[in-house]
Amino acid sequence: MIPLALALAYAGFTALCLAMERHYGEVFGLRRVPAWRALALRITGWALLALSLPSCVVAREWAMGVVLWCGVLSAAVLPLVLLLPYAPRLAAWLAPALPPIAALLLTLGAR
Amino acid sequence: MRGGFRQSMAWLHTWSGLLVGWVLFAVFLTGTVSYFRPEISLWMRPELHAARDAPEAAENVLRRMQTLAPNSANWIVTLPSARDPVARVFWRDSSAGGSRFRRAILDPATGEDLPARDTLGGDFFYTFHYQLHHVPVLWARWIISFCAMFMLVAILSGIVTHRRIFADFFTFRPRKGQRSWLDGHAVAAMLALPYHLMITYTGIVTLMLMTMPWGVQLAFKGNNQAFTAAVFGLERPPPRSGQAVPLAPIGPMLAEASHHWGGAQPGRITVNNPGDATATVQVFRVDDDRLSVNRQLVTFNGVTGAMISASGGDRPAAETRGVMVGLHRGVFGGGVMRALFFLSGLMGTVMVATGTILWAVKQRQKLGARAGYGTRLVEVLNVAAIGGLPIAMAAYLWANRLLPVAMAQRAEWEVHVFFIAWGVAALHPLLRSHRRAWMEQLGLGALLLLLLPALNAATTHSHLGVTLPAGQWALAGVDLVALALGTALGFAARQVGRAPAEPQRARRAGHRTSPAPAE
Amino acid sequence: MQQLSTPWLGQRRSSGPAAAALHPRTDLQLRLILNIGPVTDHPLTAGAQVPPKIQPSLRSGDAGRIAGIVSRSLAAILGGYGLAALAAMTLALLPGPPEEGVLWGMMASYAVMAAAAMWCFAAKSALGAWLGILIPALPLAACIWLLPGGGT
Repeated sequence: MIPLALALAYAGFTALCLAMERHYGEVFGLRRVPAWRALALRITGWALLALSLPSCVVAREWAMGVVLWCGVLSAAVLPLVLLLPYAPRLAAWLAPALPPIAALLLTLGAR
Repeated sequence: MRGGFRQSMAWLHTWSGLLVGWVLFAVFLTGTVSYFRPEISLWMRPELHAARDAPEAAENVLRRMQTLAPNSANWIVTLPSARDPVARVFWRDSSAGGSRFRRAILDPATGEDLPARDTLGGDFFYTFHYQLHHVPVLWARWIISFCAMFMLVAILSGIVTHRRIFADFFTFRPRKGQRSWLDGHAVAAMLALPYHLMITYTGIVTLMLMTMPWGVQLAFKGNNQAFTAAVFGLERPPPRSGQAVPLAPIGPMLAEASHHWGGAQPGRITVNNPGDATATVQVFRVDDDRLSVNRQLVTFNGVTGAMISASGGDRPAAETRGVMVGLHRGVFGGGVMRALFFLSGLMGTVMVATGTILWAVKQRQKLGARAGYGTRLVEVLNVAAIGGLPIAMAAYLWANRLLPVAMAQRAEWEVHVFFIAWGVAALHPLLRSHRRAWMEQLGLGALLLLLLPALNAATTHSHLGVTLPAGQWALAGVDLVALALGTALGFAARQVGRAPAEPQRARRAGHRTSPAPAE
Repeated sequence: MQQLSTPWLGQRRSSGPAAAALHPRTDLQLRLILNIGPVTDHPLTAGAQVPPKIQPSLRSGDAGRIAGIVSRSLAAILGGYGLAALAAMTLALLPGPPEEGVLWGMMASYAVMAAAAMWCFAAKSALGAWLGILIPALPLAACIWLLPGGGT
């Protein structure tokens, strides 16, 4: 559950990050983000961040789950911020890759 | 008006952070490490590594206590847990010196003594972070509270100052000198901002009974005991009757208490007047399965084993306080939660360190060789604290492995090694150039930490080669985290070594260097 | 010369007699005010004399500036603590179990202290800082005096 929460949070933060011109430019080379894409990225980003909360609550029940979520958010955004200046493409591509991997691990672990 | 407000908050942020930055660094680093206090304490007592929790641990321990302290007024037994696989006992003994308590560590499987080397363990770091050492206790707590208030003001003024909090959220530009330090400081602060606010405020609240006693003065006419009794519900046990009656079996009491808590485990047992007709047994719940630190206990008649009372749910304010202190201590949630707290704590430590370094770098860039004593003082203190404390902490662990086990005053000497190492590290930057001082201290810290697992292997049987296959994560974790932090310090030392020497332009007196972009 | 709206932080002095004859171009003024450089490479300052230390040393206006900072610091630390203590005591007298009110008061007081400290440095003058402490203190003191359980 917690790896899934981390993966979703990472993806959410990456989406929010790419909605910004400076970081969009770092990854895709184009400085201007098309308006609809920026909006879609922002909505997706916030949605993914919100989705990581239920994973945390399932893992630890309500009160501790919220505390866990705050820790997960910090832990997820840190590698993004550290990767961006050195390997922006990798940082961006991890976002769609990590949640499926985490979900797979979850189903394997549940067996 | 807007501009004036932000400027004044920027000034306030700089000075409230800078004046106490080094104390805050020490508090943050020792505090962050204290998330693993039981693990470090266990690591520092290799004699205990073979101990394992046993199903009849409470019975074994209490049987041993009958012979160890039959006439004591009070036994306090901490049951073994996953993080601490031994039983720890305290008992009141009027013949003991000092605080009139004796203590022992017992094997849960047999109840026999487990002599371990004399050491403060992880408790040294934990106590240091709110009470320092070698400083009178109340003074130290006031100093720490004072610094924590400065920290709170620094965080709040920093939030106000940082106008584009979300726009810069992901911005980190390394290898750009002062700008990188600013980015690093902002990133370390923003990415865990809720944590930093929480840990600072709850830290202050944890000491609030000392720093803000005025409500008690007013509402309880200064009667601290009445206040404490009202909040925590402590009662004094009755005196011994002199009538010897054996203690009822503990097993059923533990089971009934656990049942009362819906399956939660007992963590501690207190026996008052053991072996007497007035005996009572208090069973405390473990404190790592919920947010609040407020004790939950069930009291039993020690002779019949019948339940007398259970502490009820606490009232709102007391529960809020319990949650605040609980959030600060962060013992709940298991290993992953602890790791996340540790990570956030490290980010807080980095936030404080980058703050003071940023100030010195800014001053140095602005003024070059003409920088005054203030800048030089800050630079020296930066190396002494940020480079020196990790060295001292590593030296403490090295001393634990190297000092002879039978040495007199062994625990005190481990602490002496800590302070001697820190003292030398504090003087060292006075004798070296700034860059060399950083390289050498970061390098030494890295070396001490990276070699710690090897030292462990050379001096004990609880090294990574044994603990990893056995799945003893508590012990392996200390070695692994030492390796990780040592690598980080080594990386930092290498970065300092590779940084270009100060540009020639900076050395020319009287002129500014390349334009620093206005912030 | 452009004024900072917090003059107690100190105005950067223009760089000597030659600067007084400069055309008031905004960017040069900003460089001087914010003490960023280069000043000597600026086309407007070519040939201008720059004093040996751009960082201003103590001068006549500084005594007032430092006194202001000291006054604000005292207001923030002592006054802020006092205001926080008054808040703690007022909350301690809330209806309900006294130990509850005492605890609420203690926990909330530090927010009061932090806010007071920030006010002291955001206020336009040191006097304003102290007034910002004393004015809220009066109703709190009145509450403590008047509410049951308080008084002398």
